[in-house]
Amino acid sequence: MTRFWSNGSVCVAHAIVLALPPAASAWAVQETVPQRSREQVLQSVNGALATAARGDFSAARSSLELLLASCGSAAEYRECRVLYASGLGSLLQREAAAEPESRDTLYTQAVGYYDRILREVPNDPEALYGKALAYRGLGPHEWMESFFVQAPTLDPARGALYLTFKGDYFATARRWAEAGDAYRAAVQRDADDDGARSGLIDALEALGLSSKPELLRLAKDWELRYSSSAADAYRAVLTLSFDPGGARDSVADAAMVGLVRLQSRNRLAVGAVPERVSTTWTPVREIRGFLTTASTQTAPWWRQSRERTDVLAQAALAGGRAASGAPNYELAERLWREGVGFAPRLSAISLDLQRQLALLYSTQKPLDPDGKKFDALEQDIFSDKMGALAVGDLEAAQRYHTTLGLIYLERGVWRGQQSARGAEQQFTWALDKADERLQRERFYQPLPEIRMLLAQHFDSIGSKSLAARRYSEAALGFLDLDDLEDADSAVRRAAAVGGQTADLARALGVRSALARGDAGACGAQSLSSLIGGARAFTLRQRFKVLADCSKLDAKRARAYAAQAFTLVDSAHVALVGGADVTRFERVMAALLGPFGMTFQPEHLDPFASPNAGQAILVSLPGETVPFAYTAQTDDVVGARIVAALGDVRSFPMAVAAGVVSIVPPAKPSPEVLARIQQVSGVKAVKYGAAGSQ
Amino acid sequence: MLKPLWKCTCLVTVVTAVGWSSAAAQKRATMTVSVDLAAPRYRDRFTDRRAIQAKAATLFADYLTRNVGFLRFAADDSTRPYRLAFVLDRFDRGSTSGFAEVGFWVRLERPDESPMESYWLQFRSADQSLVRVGGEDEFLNEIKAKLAHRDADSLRTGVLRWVPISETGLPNLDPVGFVLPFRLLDLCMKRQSTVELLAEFGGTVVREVPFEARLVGNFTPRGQPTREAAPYVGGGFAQVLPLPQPDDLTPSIARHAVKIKKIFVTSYVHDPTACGNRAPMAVGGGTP
Repeated sequence: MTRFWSNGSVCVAHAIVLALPPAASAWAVQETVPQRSREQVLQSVNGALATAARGDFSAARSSLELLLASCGSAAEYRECRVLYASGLGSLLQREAAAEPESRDTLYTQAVGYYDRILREVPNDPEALYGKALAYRGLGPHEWMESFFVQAPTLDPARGALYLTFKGDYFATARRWAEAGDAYRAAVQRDADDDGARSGLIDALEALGLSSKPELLRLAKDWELRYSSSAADAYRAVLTLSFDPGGARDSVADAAMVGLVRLQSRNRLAVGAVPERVSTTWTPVREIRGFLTTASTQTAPWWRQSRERTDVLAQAALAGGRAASGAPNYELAERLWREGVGFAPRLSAISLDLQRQLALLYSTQKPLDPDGKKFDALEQDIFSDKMGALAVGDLEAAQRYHTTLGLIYLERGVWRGQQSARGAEQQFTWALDKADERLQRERFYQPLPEIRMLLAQHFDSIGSKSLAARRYSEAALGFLDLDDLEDADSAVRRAAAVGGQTADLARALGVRSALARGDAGACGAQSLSSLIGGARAFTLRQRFKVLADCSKLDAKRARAYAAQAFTLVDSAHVALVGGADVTRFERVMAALLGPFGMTFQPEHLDPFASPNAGQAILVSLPGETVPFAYTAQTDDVVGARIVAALGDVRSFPMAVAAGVVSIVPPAKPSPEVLARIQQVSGVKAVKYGAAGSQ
Repeated sequence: MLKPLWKCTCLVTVVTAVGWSSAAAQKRATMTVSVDLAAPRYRDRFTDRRAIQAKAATLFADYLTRNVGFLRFAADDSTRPYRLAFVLDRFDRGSTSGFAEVGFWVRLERPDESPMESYWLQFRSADQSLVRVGGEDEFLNEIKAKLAHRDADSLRTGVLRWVPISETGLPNLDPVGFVLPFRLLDLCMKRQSTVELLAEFGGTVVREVPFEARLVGNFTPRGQPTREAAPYVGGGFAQVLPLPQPDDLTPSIARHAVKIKKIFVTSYVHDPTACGNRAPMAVGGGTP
């Protein structure tokens, strides 16, 4: 949240002589007049912090104290006092970290400055946070309890964090039930809070055996998105199960299965268990035995249900990978062959195992000197028929076909005696699967490299129309991936074999002009030329062009950025490649910056965050699953507001938990306020020093 | 009621946090982080390879800073004795196949020891090996995406456990253990973490002996700390469990004949809240 500065009337200057050597601290002019504009104050504060960073805490502190005093007590200089006090709080905390002998005194003094701010501006977020950190630095005392209990309600935008602090406070005091309640509430408010999840696991483990079912439920809920926390929760169940009075019951069994599943998926050491868990416990003993012998006869417990068998197959896949990295190719082969033997046919795991085996036979000739094993593997899968793959796991099927295509490509076999036994058919199937995923999963994959290979193959055998089609598809893919050089090559080749390339050439022309830095390509004519072809492709290209124009054409940057943002926010245009992610972040910064808001870049996840207002789909080259870009909901709301305001002159505002705050001297018209109120995600608009709604 | 936590009656009371803290002013050890694009396809892709390696190193250093609190990480700082290099190379270095998985190997380089290396992060699977490398933004964003959900456990316990976090510590007699020169909060470390302490025993023959110890809380002495103990007040306390038999550690500590040489973190229970909230916000808004 941003605080605003009221640049007030002329003030009475009183000179303050600072005892700083000028060379050591350029910010601290020898004689200062009161620094009261927001910019001046921040400059002074940051200068003092820089001085402190050089080790001269004393000088920095003296300066800030004098400057704070210079703010006076008039109401209009409240922010002057607040910022200097905040600077002092920050400075003292840094000093406490550097000078542990005086740590408690320094933290206590920091708290004093934060309290001073909170008396002037109740619930000021910076002061609350600073005070919380200082308290944490001091360690827990009973007199802090009321603060930690109240803090989550004082700054709702950071409510989850303060609930976690509250949990930490109780946990340190070993008041586990209260800690558990606080962490649970934090997780409910923000499932992405790593500390809250970690604390909740600790609290539940400390609460003992009765927590096992809840820990197991949490672990299952977290498996996909928070695999590390899920593994911790599974481990906690296992540890409790081996505590005095603990039982190796169905909950323990389920936790073991879940833990091995996670270890297998995430390439962790499969079969590793907490030290309290006995290695002679059947599930542990068997999984470890299986990974060294590759024999399911040593793992009957793991064959007792479909779920366990699936997990055992995943363990075979992971174990084989680990073995091939060792390298122990023989063990890898045995594990994968055994896995293929018991994994459900045509399941994703079965396909993955067969893909690995095919690769192994392809790269490790001594394992398959006459190629018979590879042939048998192929025959095995084709006898079940390719059609069956279509109803199975599309990602696994696509990867399988791609792998076989690459193997045949390396062998120089484009067309075998059976059509399936050649790169042409395998790559075609791989692309078919990719198309199917687009239809079913909305996951777009450009895959220009495979399309180009196919195009060149068709070109070489005289199949001009097929070549033209694949060249054109490759050009689309290259444009989506910002590879203009290869796009140009593909367009030329498509044209050479009779393909219709006018739309592609226009798009390429605009993109190339922008890549050269030609802002003239941002004109309406250029943009309108991006028509024709598939609508989704056109929208993706428009996003790129608009985002690039927002960078090239400073005068219209906001307008272009708003259009680019709207394409993602409203038309759900997918971002393709890392360059689009950078474009999106630049667009957000261009929109929010002029309004005094700072864009907080987020990260890409294979699963959408539960906190995300809306997941932005991202297709990354080299990834076989779609990713989601999670922008802070308040940032998205802020960008929507800016986009909705059009060319309204910018003014500082802040968005926190959907509440828009605008502080004088900004004077948005009632019409502007009404427009803001109508923006999706806006819960309230506060205007004025008192925050009137 | 919290008061039992900091009302101590024994010679040394181990508490989970201190009422008046003062762990030694030592900074956590810093190691350098670098990235090396060894796979030819990636090595040859970028004309200014050093620049992109440096940017990638910053991403890895940021990742480590978030996930490993017991050390500090600086990208491409050649002055540090310990270096963690992330090398983008084939998974199967013996294979000559035209399509092969590539990923990041992690190599720990340390003084007076041979480097250790392991494969850590898949970057492109074999079936994705045809896919173009892309430009700088794409490459760096792909790394970010890969790191976003990568578990750091194998790095912490498999690699970084060989990097000493300190070369000082305070032996303690009752209970038998050692005080770290850092608070647990500063290490983003929870209780139950374990450390290995390499201690030097004095006497007629000087010996170096390793001990496993479990972090059980922070250290606060009863009354005024001795001059020797003062810098360690508030530091994490690691209790030696179990005591070696025959126990010559206890009498040696009593004789003040034990000196800590190195401390390693062997099992790290991460405290993400501590790592994520180390410093106050930037004054006036924004991130610190």
